[in-house]
Parts: sequence; structure tokens; C-alpha cells
Amino acid sequence: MTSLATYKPVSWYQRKSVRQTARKIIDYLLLILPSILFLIPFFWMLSTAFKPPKMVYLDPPVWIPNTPSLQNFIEGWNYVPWPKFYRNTILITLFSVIGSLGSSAMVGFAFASLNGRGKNFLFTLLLATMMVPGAVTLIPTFILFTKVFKWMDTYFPLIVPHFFASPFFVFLFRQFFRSIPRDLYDSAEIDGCSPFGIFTRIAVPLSGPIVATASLFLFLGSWNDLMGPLIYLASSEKFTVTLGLTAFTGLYFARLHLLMPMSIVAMLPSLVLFFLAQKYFVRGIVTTGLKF
Amino acid sequence: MSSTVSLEQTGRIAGKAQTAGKRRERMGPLARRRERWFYLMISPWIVGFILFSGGPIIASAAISFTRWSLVQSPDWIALGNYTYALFEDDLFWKVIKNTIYYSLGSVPSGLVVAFALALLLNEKVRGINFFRTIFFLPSVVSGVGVILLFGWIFNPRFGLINGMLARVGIKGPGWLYDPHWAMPVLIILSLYGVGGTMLIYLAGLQGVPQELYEAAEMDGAGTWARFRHITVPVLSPVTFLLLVTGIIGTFQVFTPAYVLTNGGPEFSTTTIGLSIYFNAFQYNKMGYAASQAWLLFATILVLTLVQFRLSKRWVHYEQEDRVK
Amino acid sequence: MRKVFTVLLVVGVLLGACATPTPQIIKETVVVKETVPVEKVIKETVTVKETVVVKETRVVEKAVTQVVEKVVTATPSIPEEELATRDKPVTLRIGISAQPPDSPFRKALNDLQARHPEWRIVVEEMAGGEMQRVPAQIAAGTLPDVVRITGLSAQPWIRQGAFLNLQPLMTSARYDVTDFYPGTADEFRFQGAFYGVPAAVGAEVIYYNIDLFDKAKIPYPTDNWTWEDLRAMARKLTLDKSGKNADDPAFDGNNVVQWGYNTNPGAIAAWAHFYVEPFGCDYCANEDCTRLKFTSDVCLNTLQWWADFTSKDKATLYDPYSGKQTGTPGDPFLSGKVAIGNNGFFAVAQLKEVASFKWDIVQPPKGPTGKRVSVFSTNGYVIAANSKHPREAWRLIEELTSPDFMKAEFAARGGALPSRRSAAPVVLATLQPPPANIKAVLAALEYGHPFRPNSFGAFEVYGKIIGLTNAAMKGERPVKDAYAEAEKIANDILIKAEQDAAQKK
Repeated sequence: MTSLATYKPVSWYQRKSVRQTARKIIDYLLLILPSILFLIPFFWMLSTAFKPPKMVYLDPPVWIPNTPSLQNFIEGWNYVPWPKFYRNTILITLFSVIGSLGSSAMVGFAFASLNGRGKNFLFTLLLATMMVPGAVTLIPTFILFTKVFKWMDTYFPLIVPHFFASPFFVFLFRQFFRSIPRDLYDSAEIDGCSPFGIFTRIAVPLSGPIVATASLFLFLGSWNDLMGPLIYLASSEKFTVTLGLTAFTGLYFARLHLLMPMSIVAMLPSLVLFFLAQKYFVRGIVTTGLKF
Repeated sequence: MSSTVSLEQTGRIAGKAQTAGKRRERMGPLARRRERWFYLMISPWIVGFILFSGGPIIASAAISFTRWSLVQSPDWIALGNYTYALFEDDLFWKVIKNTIYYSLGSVPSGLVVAFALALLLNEKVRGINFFRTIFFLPSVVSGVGVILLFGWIFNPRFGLINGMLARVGIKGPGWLYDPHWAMPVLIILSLYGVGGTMLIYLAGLQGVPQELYEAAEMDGAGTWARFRHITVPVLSPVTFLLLVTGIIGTFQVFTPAYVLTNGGPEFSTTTIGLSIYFNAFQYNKMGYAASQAWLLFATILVLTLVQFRLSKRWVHYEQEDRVK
Repeated sequence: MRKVFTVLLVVGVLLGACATPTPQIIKETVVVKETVPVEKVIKETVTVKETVVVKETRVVEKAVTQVVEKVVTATPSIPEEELATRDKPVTLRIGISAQPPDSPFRKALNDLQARHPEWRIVVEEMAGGEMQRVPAQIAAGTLPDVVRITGLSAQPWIRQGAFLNLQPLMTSARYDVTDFYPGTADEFRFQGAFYGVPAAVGAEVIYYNIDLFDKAKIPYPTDNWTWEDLRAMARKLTLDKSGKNADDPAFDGNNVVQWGYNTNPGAIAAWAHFYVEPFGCDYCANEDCTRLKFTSDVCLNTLQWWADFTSKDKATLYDPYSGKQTGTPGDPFLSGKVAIGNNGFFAVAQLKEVASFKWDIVQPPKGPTGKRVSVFSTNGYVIAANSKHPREAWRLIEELTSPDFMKAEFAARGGALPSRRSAAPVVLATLQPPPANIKAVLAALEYGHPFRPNSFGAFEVYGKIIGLTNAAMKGERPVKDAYAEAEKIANDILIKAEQDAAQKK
């Protein structure tokens, strides 16, 4: 940022370069300190993963294993058929993200920019569906999907509902589409664009960061979903990665030395995706979009 | 507010709702066409609601008026579950109190922390991607293992926190094992998960038109003034979204308490989400669980409607501002 | 990910062409928009979406009525002749916990299938979701014909008629019930009839850390020991920071680093039998254990004995598993923090995997009356009350619980033992290497029994009294007061739960 005080003779600390450097140092300090707090659990996770099993349960705990070993990774990897589980999870996640992203963005756009009788009521209804806790709709939903639709042991209960918009993401998109200046829509409409055309040609390209954010959330939601696969999948060749992890958590005993390395393996795709999606957060599509 | 000013504003139908009758009278062909499009574009959700949510939700409402153990057919007991929850079950009120405590503790602090982090992470410094990843890391991982891991830091004897406190001569509390400290620990743990909130703020920050800042700078506004009068109001729709969904989410919180404390010690971390789960799946009281869920639902609904009412005072939408 | 964006954008732009089409036409295009990206990768999804649309109206209707509908039908009975005339294989669904495809159980099941072409066995696996899946399937009326469930949750379902009474089927097949260890069937029995056949059992025995005993120069426990012996040993094995044991007058009870014994009846209320029964205290106030009485003299004395052990001697933990006291979450015996610990047989497998010390097992100690107790965790097979093929399902259970099948399933696993006398010793012999005193487990199988209470309201009781019982053990509240309050809370819950269930009849 610039300073207005260019006329006065400036002391060293007012000089731009010095202030910028100072600011950077403060920025880094502010970033690094909480980072350490956030990283400690993951350090422990890594340390557990690379310990030989007999070191995991030692007391006092060992922070850095003196003989790091890949034994846990190998044993954990051979414990259940992970490649199959990955394929299944990717399949479910891909469809869920596509379905939910498309439908939620469109519904969100409609709630933000169009009007119709009962809109407020419908929007309240949409939000209300978020407010009913899953524990009590679990049984009726289960009956619906397994008895009425006969979807037991298929991926449909995990995928199909996503194609009909998810309330949180509708709300998310609505809030963002509402902050886009209306003149953009107006001028497009005057050019003869239909509201759906405005949605796809103007609103969506303008919402790069939020589309990236929503995709990431949807991905994580599907990827990490436990309850859905837990109650609807019944043959282990259809299992997902999170179900695979439950093999290490028992009623009496958690195989921490296998759970930790496999949790790391399970989170890798999400991390990679986050890295890839990053550039959409910084690109500033909106800024360029606003200039036409 | 907005730097871009439209030439024709009047007669446009903006986000704000008006009564149907009035609108109908002055509805031009354009407005009617838009209404058709509105229904068409929300139709996926309507169909989905009818197919997948409506039925289970109505069913759960019906269940709340019954005594039902899942095995035998439900008995209709009218408001029995509700009167039991409100007037007989001492635990229910404690559960409500815990839930409000958790929500008040984690939503505002979560928003502040997430906003602050998002501002920091919006800076253009070297390695920013790396830092973004670190703060998002806890939100990427899920599952019991990681919650256990976080709980471990708060272990009274060997946990990192008490280790550091001991170094400066303070004897740390029992954290998750102390009825007064267990809930604060869960609230602190919730801050580990601000990555998502932070990301939505970050996306919002990316969307703030640079012209606004440039114009304000020309007017001589300082950093604080720009933050106060541009960043905060422009992001107010985002804050509103996160506030509403945050309250809904925290009122339903389940997993951390289930894994770390199982509701204890002395029920100090039994939130309503936990209570519903226990009644439904451990105590064979599905009807009672459903009635608690609907009391929760009613509470959240009222809170949300109040928030929508209040939001008109502090949430600024580009589209609406121009209609005023 | 970028591909997804691109697909969406391309499709979107194609459809959002800036013409102003009429609504009817658009309706079609919207549908196309949703199916296009789907079709590219998988065909099935598209077909399902069609079914969704077709079923739209009746779905809602059903979902609502479903809940009110009575889901459990009367026990079906199929005449014997009808069975013989069937020529198509009968589909039998069996619900089990998730198993690797090469697990001994799956191998044995495949053999079984090969031997019985008249069945088509369909396996439904649960990845630890028994708590949710089984209730959901019971409510939906879609429980598999045969389900393997944990004994702990069986009683409330049995008592409400979710499972079939196996008694008529059993007698006709001349099933040898006496081959099962008596306690293993307790959780599957109601009013004298069997509703399930026990498969696996974990019996509590005592584990001790040989290294710690050697270090303290204390002779190892023998199968003949008493609880007083255990307490005396535990005091010698409890060490403070400076290495003084609990018998030393200078012992610092606030800085214990190693404990003699791992827990007490207050910390794990459900296990309380294990600790109090040998002393002559049975807190079940009736045969069915649907009322509790902690406040008899003998029970209060026993509980006081334990409270002293815990809070005066400080030689046993009041909070063993959370890590509050020991600093290491998880089993304190595994991390070498306690010298003597009770644990199920499953611990053998874990100890082999992770223990960095020498250990052995011994039978639970005797009480003053000479009585010993072991606590069982069991699982077993039940038949869904609405199974269409109860006879075939029973035949399948007979096969699954035959000594040969059990020997194959449990061999060399060391996690649990078969519930049959003719199988358990054989399985134990396959353990490599076995604990030296392996016969202690076999002895415990003869006199063990499961947790009680285990019927309506039991879980709620455990959840709601544990704070009180724990406070009593820690010495924060007088034993008498705390247990009197716990008794009242427990009986209130049990009475209400029973009344709720009784109103159905």
C-alpha cells in the first residue's frame, strides 16, 4: 500500500521499503506462530506412522523414532485392498461433486437473482432441511433408500441425492451471486440472454474462487463420509477408503500404528487437490470479470 | 456503497421479497419470464426435496409423537416425549445448556480466527500456498484417529499444553477429564477446524473489487478505514452465511465429543447431538430422540429467522443496496 | 479437478446460449445438462435417474406410512414337505462384520457354499456399523436372514421380537447345546428359550507383566491366588516417582508412575461383576437382573474394599483407559504402566503385536468364599424374525457353529475363541507362541458369564451412573451415598424402560 505523506521529509521507519520489510516480517511471524500449533498433531501423526509397532505404545512417548521404518505403511497397505477402495471412493466422489456443484450453483443463482412467488418460504424450507439432525432422519432415509428404491449395497444412496442440490452449497452460492453487481446481469439480459445463459456465461465465470472452494468442500465431504458408506455398503469390494480405516479402530483396541500411516495415505488425495485448487483462490477472476 | 452504478434500477426485481399480490399486478412479461426461470432453475432442489428429504423429515416428525424402539410398531403418545423432555428429564436442560455453551464458544471465535487467518493468507508473500495448506490441514483429515490425536495434546500428564504450562510454573487442569474444562477443550479443538471457514472468507476476499480499495485510497482512507468500511461490509454476506450455518452446525455437533469424552465427565460435554444419538441408537428410544431433534430444530429455526431479521441491519448485498 | 470444471463449463456454455427459448424446450435441456457428464463415465447412473422420475409420486406416500406400519410379522412357519419340493437354490443373506476376502472365515464360508449348492449364500458386511446398520435394518424389515451380532446388544431386540425363537428348530435338529460353554449363551436366552447361537467368546483373565514382577522381586501369581493376594502384590508393584512402593511409609501417592493393578468396579460399571461377585455381592436384585441393589451390606463392603484399594492404597487406577492418570491413552497394561491387568482373551493378539515386555496370563483370583468370576464378551448368530427361510437359515447356523467350521474360522487368530468345548482347546493349541499358562483361559471359559444387566435400559444405566461410581472409587464421595444414588437412578431407568416395552403387549 502507498503513503500519502510524500511532501514531508521522512524518517527511516517511514520509508516505504523499510515499512514494507517490517510488515513482511510481522506477516511471517503471524503466519508461523499459529502454524506451529496447527502442525504439532500432524508431526505426532507422522512420528507414529514411522515408528516400529513396539515403539508406538511406549511410555514416556517417543517423539522422534531413532529407527524410522516403513513397516507400518507396508503392513497397513496389505491389510485391506486399498487400490480397490480408492477406485470406489474416487468414483463416488467424482459423481457427487459434479452433481452437487452443478445443481447447487444453479439453484443458488436462482435464489440470488430471480424471483418467484413463495421464494422466501422455499428458501426457509431449504435452510430448514439443514437443521434436522441426521441421527433421526437416518432410519426413515434408510427405509426409503433400501426398501422403496432397493438401493442397498449400491452407490446410488451416496451419489444420487447430490444431483438435487445440497442446502449448504445453495446458500453458499446464493450469498456469492448476490454480491455480484446486478448491472452485469442486466446488460446481458438486454442483449437477449436467458437467465440460464446469464448463470452459465456470467455468474459462473465470475465465481471462480467460490466454485473452487465449493468443489473442495464437496470433495472432502464425499471423500471423508463415513456414515453413508457404513450403512449402505454391504460387500467389501464396494467399500470406500474411510471404511477401510475402520479396520484399524476396534471396540477395545485401535491399531494406532496402522491407523496413523493409513490416515496419511487416505488424506493425500485431498491435500493434492487442495494444492491444485489453490490457484483458483488467488487468480482473482472476479477482479478481471468486473472490468467489462 | 457500490462503485458501479446502474443506469436503470427501478422496476427491477432484486433479491428482496415483496408480497406476491402487489408484484403480480405490476409484473411485466419480463418479470413473468423470470419467474418461470426461477422455478425451472430451482426444480432440481424441489424434486430432490420431495424425493429425498421431505419424506424422512415428515417421518421423523411423526416419530417424535410416538414411543418407538425400532423393533415393534410405534405407539402414538402425542406430546408425551415433548413434555418428558421439557418438564421431567433433568438431563435435557443440561444438554441444552451445554449445546448453547459450545455454540457461543465456538462460532464467534471461529469466525474471528478464520477472518484473521484469511486476511493474513490473502497477503502476497512468498510461500503463502504452504501456509494456506497448513491451516487447512486439519479440515482435510477426518476420522477418529485425528480427533484422538488432538485430544492427546491436552493430555493432563504428558500432553503438550500442560507440559508448556508446567515450564512456566503453572499446574495445568485436567482438561477433558475436568467437568469445567472439557467443554473449553472441545471449543478449542473446533478452532482447529476453521480451515473451511477461512477458505470461504479467502474466496470472499478474492472477490472484493479492487476498484473499491483504489477509490477509497484516493479519498485518503487508511488501512483501518478501508478494512472497516470496505472489507467488512463487502464480506458481510459471507459472514452472515457462516454465522447461520455455523450455528446450525454447532448445535448439531457430535463426533468430537463422542470420540473424546463420550459426553462426560459428569455430562459436561453431552450436547444435544450426542443426546439424540444415544437415545436413538443406544437406549432404543427413537421417539424420544426424534422429539429432542424437533425441539432442536425449532430452536435453530427461531434463531435463524431472528438472524435473517437482524441481518437487514448489517448485511450489505450489492444487488439490494442499489434498489434502496 | 480441472476436467470437472471444464466439462461443466463447456456443457453450461453450450446450453446457456443467448437465445430466448420457450420454457418447455428449456425443461428438456436442463435434464440433458445433468445427464451428459454422467453418461460419459458410467451408464448405470443414467438408468437410475430414470427410475427416480418414474417412482416420484408413490415414494413419498410410502416413506410416511412406512414408519407407522408394523414391521415385524409373526414367526413364519414353512411345512417340511414344502422344503423338499424346492428345486431352485434358496437365497440366504448373512450379515457379518467386514472380513478380508482371504480371512479364514470367508474361506470356510466358501467351502460351505461349495458343499451346499441348494443355498445361495449372500454375504452382507458391516464395517463396524453394527450400532446403526442393524437397528436400521430391523426398522426397515430388511435384516438379513442370519446376522452375527454382539451379545451385548442382543437382549432388548430379542425381548421385543426382532429375532426368531430358535428353540423349536433346535430340538428338531437334535442340536447339542451342552457342548457350548454355559455362560456364552446367556445373552441369547430369554424365558428359557434360545434366540441365538453363540459363536465367539472373549473371557476375561488376568495378565501380568513378568518384567515388572522380576524387577520388584515378587513371585508370579498362581491360579490359586485370591483378591487379597492381588491387592498385596499390587501395592508392592505401585511405584512413585522416586521408586518407592505403596507399602513404603514415604510413598508419594500423588506422583505415581507405575500402578499395581489396572482398574476397579467404578471405572467400568458394566464390568462390576468381575470385581464384586467373588466377594459374594450379586447386585442383580432379581433373576432377570432388571432391578439392581448395590446397597446390601456385602456389596457396600466389597465396594468399600475397592475404593480403599483405589484411593487409599492408590495401587489401582480409577481412570485406566483415557490416559488421564497414566498419560498414555489406551490400555495401561499394553504401555507397561501397570503390572497386573484384567483383559479379554483378545489382548493376547494385541500383546503379541505391540508389547515390548514379557507377560503371561493367570486365572482371575478367588474371593473369600473361593468363588471366581470371569466376564464374557460374546457374539452369536440370530435369525431375523421375518426371514422367509427360517429352516434353511437354521441349517446355515448349524453349519457355521459346527466344531469344524469354528476350528477353521478361529485357527491361529488369537482374537477370540469359539464358544464350543469341542473347538476352543483345539484353537488354543494353534496359537504360536501361546501364553505359557494357556489353560487359564480354558478354565475361565467354564465359569464366566456376560455383563449384567443387559436388557431394556442397560446402556442408559451404564451411561448415567458411571460418574457416581467413579466418584466413589476416587474417594470424592462416600461409597454408601454414591451407590445409593446410583441404585436409585439405575432402577428408575430400568423400571421406565420395562414399562415402555411392556405397554406394547
